[in-house]
Amino acid sequence: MGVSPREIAIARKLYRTVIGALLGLSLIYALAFMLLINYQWREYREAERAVSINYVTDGKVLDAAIGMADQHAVKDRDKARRNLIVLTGALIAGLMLAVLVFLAVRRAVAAMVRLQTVGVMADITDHKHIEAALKESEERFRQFSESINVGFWILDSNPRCVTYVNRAFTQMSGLEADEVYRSPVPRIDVVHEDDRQTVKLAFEEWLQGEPSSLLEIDYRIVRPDGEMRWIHDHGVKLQDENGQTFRILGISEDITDRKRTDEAIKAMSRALEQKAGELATVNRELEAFAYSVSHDLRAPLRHVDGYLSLLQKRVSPLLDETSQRYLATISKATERMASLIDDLLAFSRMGRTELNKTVVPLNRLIKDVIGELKTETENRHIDWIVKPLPDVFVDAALFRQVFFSLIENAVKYTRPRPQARIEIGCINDDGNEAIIFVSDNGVGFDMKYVDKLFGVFQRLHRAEEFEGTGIGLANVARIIQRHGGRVWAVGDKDKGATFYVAIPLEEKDK
Amino acid sequence: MTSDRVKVLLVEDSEYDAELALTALSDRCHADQIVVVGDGEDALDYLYFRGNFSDRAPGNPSLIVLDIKMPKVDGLEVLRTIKADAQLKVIPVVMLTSSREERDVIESYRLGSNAYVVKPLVFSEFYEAVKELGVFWLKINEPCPVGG
Repeated sequence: MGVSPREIAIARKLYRTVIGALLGLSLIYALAFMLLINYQWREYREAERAVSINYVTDGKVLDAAIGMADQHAVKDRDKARRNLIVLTGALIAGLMLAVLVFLAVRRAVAAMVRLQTVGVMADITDHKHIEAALKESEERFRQFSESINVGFWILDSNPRCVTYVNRAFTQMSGLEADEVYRSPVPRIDVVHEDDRQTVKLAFEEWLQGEPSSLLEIDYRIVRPDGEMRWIHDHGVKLQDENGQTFRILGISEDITDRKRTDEAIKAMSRALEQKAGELATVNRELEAFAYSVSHDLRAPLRHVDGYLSLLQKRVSPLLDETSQRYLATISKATERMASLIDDLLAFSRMGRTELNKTVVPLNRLIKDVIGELKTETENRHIDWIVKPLPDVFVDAALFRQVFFSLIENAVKYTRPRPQARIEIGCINDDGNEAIIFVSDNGVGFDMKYVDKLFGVFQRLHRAEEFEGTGIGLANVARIIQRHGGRVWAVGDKDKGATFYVAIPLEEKDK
Repeated sequence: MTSDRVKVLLVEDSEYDAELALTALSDRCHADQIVVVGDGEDALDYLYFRGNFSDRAPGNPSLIVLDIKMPKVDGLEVLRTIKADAQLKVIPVVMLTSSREERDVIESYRLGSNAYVVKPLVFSEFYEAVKELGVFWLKINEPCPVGG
């Protein structure tokens, strides 16, 4: 219930006037009585004094006078006493009456204004507190709202108008607060025309939706200065006791930078995807090319070799030693070319076939590989040191190829050693990856060529020294890479080499 | 009569490969027991007495050696036709090709190929492979008594 301070002031004024008038009346009435009484007393006193004087000056007269005076005085005194009693009674009655009237009037006036006065008195007290609290909270709100970096706005829904925007909002939108307050369709004009309809629809839909639902919407605005900004709005609805939305509180964030970064990232990842796609295509094409080239090279090579053999059979008895050597050299060259082509084919095929992963116990795999190399190791003195190795989740056939290459190399490059030493172990098995090494005391290599080790057809030795096409380690690197692992080598010329294979361990390995 | 009968139908588009294969097979059979055709169309014409082969002597070969990569009708197409034919399907077909492609191998077996041999690059190995192939299919293996 609302009683305005003005109404309270009027009531108080009225109250004071009535009380004042009553008090005044009572006082006048009382004064009149006092004057009357005083007059009566004075009359009496004067009569008494006259008698006394006469009494003093003349003895005779005195007696007569006394007698007379006494009579008179007694009469007057009685009269004065009577009057005094009457007057006193009247005065008392008057005062009482005045008091009664005063009380009655006061009650009447009080009754008249009591509700308001009392209520208002109470209200005023509360009001004062609330006023102070409100003032403080308003100040706090203002400080907060004006100092934050996000736009804050209040939209009343009936009639629909913006009743508050903070400084950040005006800065963000480029609109003056007054403009916003005046606008009948708040702020929609500032929304980019492409987004306007979407924003309208989204806003109305949200307004009609669940009371507790939040407004979340992104859109662009075009500021009066022509600058475009991306805005993100969050909004909440406030309901009155009837459940009607009467107010909306909103926050507007300038997400232009974020949007731009997002756009840049998107553009970048699109470009990257495209590049990756192109690379994959190029890679596929290259592999297909490598395959078809090596495939197509095979036929003529087979013919060269085939007809050379037939020729050798026919003419060999007729040829001199030099001619025979020429033929043998051609044959050897074709053989070498054949193995290069076969290796290239295998390498290209290896990059294309799917990995078929199973749990592979490395110790058994190494044992098998060493067994397979029996012909190469038959007449050699080799100390094999095979440490405990983990089980890994890999393509078994490809991993056999990896360790076959590494161990075959170790056997091959320790050939000059009367006592070869080949060690296979695991230096790290921390649950994330296992690092397996194959180490030998062979001819080693110069670390400045370490980059060439894993290249296709890259060799650090002449074929006459150590046979091979130079595909083995390229395959090793490729297989390990396909398993998400790493491969590297450490060598020392004439002292030996160590090859490391790091394999990521998966859940199944642990 | 056996000596007159065609033992091998060699379908090979490369005449050099054909000659080298003939050399390897010559231990097992006479040259006149081997018919060499250069593509899949000729192979089917031969088997169905069509075109150039409409007047050929009756009877089917004991073994068909089929290359895959050939002009016009490729080896897989010839294989599909043979294996879909009730009369011809009993003839052993050996794919002799330079393709080691997994899909070619799988497709060949799926279509009913009896063997798949990748031509070795080195002649000595090629020679041995084709020779052994002849020995196995023409000597060791017992052919189907009916149909072929």
